[in-house]
Amino acid sequence: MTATQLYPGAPAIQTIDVRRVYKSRSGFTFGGQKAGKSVTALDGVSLTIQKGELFGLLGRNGAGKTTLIKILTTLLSPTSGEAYVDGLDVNKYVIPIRKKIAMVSGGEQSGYGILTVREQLWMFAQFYGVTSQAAHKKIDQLLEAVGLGDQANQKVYALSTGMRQRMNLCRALVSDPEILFLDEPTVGLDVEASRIVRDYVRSWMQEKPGRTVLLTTHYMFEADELCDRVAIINHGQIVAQGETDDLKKGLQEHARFQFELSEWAPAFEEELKQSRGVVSAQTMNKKGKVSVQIALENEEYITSAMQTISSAGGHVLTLRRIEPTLEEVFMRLVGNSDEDKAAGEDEV
Amino acid sequence: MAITEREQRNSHSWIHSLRAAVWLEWQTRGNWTNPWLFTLYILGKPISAALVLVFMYEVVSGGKVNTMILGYLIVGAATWAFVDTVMGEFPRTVLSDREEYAMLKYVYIAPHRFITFLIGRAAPRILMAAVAFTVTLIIGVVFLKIPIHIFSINYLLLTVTMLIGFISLIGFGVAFAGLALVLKRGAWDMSTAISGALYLVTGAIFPITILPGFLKDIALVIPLTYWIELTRRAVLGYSSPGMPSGWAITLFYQIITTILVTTIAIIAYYICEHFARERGQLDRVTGN
Repeated sequence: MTATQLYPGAPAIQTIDVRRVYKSRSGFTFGGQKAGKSVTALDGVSLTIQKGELFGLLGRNGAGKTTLIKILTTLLSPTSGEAYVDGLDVNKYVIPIRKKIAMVSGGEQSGYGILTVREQLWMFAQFYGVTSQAAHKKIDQLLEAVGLGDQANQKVYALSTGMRQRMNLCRALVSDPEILFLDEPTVGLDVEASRIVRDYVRSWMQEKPGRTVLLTTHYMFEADELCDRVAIINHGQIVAQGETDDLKKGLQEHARFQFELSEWAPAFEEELKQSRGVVSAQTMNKKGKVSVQIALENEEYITSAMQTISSAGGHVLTLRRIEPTLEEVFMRLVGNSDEDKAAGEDEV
Repeated sequence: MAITEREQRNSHSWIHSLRAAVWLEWQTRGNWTNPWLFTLYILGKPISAALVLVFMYEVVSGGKVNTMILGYLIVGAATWAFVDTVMGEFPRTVLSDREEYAMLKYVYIAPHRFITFLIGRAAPRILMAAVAFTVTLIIGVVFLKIPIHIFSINYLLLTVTMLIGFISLIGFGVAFAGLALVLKRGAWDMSTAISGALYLVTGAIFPITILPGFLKDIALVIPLTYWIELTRRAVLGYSSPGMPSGWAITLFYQIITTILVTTIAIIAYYICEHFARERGQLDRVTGN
């Protein structure tokens, strides 16, 4: 697809081979890359995010997450490639795109400090053409929902970081956007504030079908908890994308289980290792709690493994399957690519 | 086909944006202190600037004050309040929104032309400058006896030249705001430097006839020169050396130069905005 177009059923977000190169007069480092006169922040990013998805873009600092969001929110032009928001080319349909989107960035103290929370939100509602009456109603709803009802008439400069970030979320939502860009929205927030932001994003998505969120984060648990699909970006390139469960399954070569046993017996480990379908077994005795972690060729061998333990005189108290975490997926993909890169650089 | 609520509200959003920008400027200007201190702030700068000129003139003239020259100085200084307050604050609006409030990117990605927001922000400053202009003239009449007669003022000419003058001030301001989007070092001082240069060449405090030849030529293509001159003619009733003798031809020059400068300024702004977006400078915080 090359033409700029607006068509029914267009993905909420689509990028095709997007590159972004920053040019600088003096050398600096960007995301770990040594820069001379130019730094490649995005290097051929292709993504498709359907309407109604909560999509996570994961990556370390400087991986290119924010650059992609800037391009999609019309703050920055791509050096090459194509980027579409709701089927609209970001280079050509700037104002129509802006009517559909909103953005919240984390880790900053943004806000007109002299205004009250309500005034600031009202002003942004005006920018989006919302009538005053509708805006005030919406503001009340949003502030209550994020626990800022009592702060409505407080000056922005007097808000804590967490409150300010929640206000910024309200600022983005007061215009009822179709597509919401959240750029590390919980960075620097305490547990409670982060929880409120995450909970509200989830409920906002559920309120109306078709709402779309692109969330960038380097908190893997956050992406795991919120996102339908994720992409992992490293050095400006997408190294993996898909549903979180699929990515985890892709990482897991063997089915892994953990038993907790009533008592310690040295024979368990050896017996298990020789049992059919067991790839590895490791016994741990920690603070009087005996546990065995096993890896099986596939999960069907769990029954025979349990029989082996029973016949060796063991009594299983608990059994749980060990699932790989998104963090493990991330570390495997990003860690390896970094090692490869480092090795490559060493070779050069 | 029925217009959806979203379509309807978006069709009016630039008016809403303009109104909200006016309101924001008024809040940020006036909400930081009590009304009395705010009034003193509005009036203090132009009045003190005018008085400095008057004292300097008195020293240079050895106390032999010519009220016509005094009138020339006072009206020039009073009019200059518009330049400082309206034009000079455009780049500062960009810089403070970007660096101090970290809000520029959010305002920028709202569905309006950013230039609309900037013009809205300028409107309350015109009002503030108008108050300063009026009070400075009143002080000039009451305390310095400058020859202004309230029934002799050409109010029609004053109104017309002021309105055209505001357009040129906004034009200049928009161009400087564009420069602030792409400049890093020295952006805060830019308006002071440019305003200072214009102060010298536009006949604000002395006639352009004393300028070197090339500066005089520059003065004659700047709309502010004609604006200040026509304001003096409307208020004082006499013309300045080196300017066209008829008010109609002077007004014609003001209109022509305003159209020229404002067009160039808007083009310059959009070029700067394009570069700022191209280079990723719209949301950077330079710390300068």
